Parts: sequence; C-alpha cells; structure tokens
Amino acid sequence: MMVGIAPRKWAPGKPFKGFRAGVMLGLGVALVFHQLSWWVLDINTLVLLPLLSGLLFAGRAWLGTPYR
Amino acid sequence: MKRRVFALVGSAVLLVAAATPVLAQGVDGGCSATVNGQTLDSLDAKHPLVVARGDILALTGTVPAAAGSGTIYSETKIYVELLTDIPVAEQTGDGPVWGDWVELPEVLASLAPGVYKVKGTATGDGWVCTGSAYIKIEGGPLTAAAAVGAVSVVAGGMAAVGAVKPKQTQVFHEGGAPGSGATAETPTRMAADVVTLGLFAALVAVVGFVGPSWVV
Repeated sequence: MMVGIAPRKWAPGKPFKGFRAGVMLGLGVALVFHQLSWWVLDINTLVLLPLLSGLLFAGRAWLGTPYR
Repeated sequence: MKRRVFALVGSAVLLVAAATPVLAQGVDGGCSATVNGQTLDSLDAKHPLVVARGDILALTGTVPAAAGSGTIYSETKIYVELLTDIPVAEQTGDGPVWGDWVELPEVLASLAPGVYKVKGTATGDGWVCTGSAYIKIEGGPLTAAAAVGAVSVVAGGMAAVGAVKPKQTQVFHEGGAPGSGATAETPTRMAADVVTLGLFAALVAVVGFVGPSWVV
C-alpha cells in the first residue's frame, strides 16, 4: 500500500471582487489617514493607492485558497 | 507558480508606487508671497497654516524684479489641489507690491477637516510665478468623511476575505484514498493573507512617504 502526502493545490478565488475590495480598502485608508491629518488628498492617495491596492488584492484573490 | 506570479505582481505594485515623483513647494519665478506673515516655504506639509471658517488672512506679495518699474498689473489665481485643481480665489494687483486682508474662501472652509495643498499662479506682462503651501482646516475628530472612510475599510476588508474563497461550483476532490476530499490548509492561507496585508501596509507607506502626500 502506497502512502504519501497529497500535493497542495490552490483553488482560485474571484479576482474582480478582489480588485473591488482592494479599491474600497485603498479609498477608505486614504480618507481615514486624511482625517487623522497624516496626509493630503491628491492623485497619489485618491487614485494611485486605490488602484494599486485593487491590483494587489485581485492578485491575492486569483491565488485563492490552498487545499491538500 | 501562482505564488511566484503573486510575489512578482506585489513587487511590481511597490515599484510603481515608489516611482511617484515628489513635487516641490514654495514660490518660484522671482516672486515672493506671505500669508499671515509666514513665507510659503515655511508652510510645508508638516507645518501647515491652521485655518478655520471665517478666518481673515493677511496676504502680501511682490512681483519679480524683471517686471520693471512703473505701472505693473498682476493677476493671481489660487487653487486647492484634490484630484484636479479647484479654483478658490482670484486677486488682482496694481504695482510691484500688493497686500490685502482676505476672508478664508468658502470653498476651502467647506472642505472636510484635514491638510490640503493650496497652489497659486501670478501672471503679469512677460512674467509668471507659481507657488504652493499647505493649510490645515480645523475640525472635530469625528466627521462624515472619517465615518465613510472607516466603513469603506471594514467593507473592503470583508469583501477581500470573500473574494479569496473559491466559487461554490468548484468540486475539489483530491487525496490519497479513493473518495477522500481535500481540506483547506488554514495555516498556508493565513500566511498568504499576512503577506498580502504586509504588502498593502508597505504600499500605503511608500505612496505616502515617497510622494508629496505624507504629512506626519
């Protein structure tokens, strides 16, 4: 009888929902930090951060959940 | 393979953020300007001019020496920088030196409390000056914008957790013995989540620190 450890497989999630979640997270952080007077609202914090955050979380969602 | 691609994407995101140019602040073009006795160079992001609704500001300015002598007309336009430049006020001058007492424009007073960058352009016959400074609009700790931001963070975080889960229609059966099912590897998933949150925190730090946005 052969015994072994099953290989790990990643089941992908939903990248578009991950992108949307990342954008919301980025915009929320931008607003909260602005209200704390930690930074100003400009193209970097209002556009660049949410977009890059969206890409990051889209990538995480695409990676998905590991199963074994 | 997927993890390497995700790591590459994460690194690329940080590199793009780090490439954000840093903008100068102060006055150029040979002009000078003061607000409440303070030069624009001194009103940087960490030391903004604190203002509140109804404040009266003392503005003074001089045109560049190259403008010559005699009758010198100048027009100064003030903007507040958000996604675009929002016009705030317009001032005309007659002579090499001008000054006025100005009430804080309603456009600025109506913004949510926080730090903002204010820019100005002064033009005359054959010369142009540009300048910028930071102001801090006073307000209470709990504002509508803070509430919206907090809700967005919570909702975004919850949506991110849901986005990672595979679609329900996926039937995933893998294992050693026939009929066995695969189980989710929670420690590995948590490690991936921690790495993602770490990259997000680094992204926030890089966008804020490298760009002109950071105040603290």
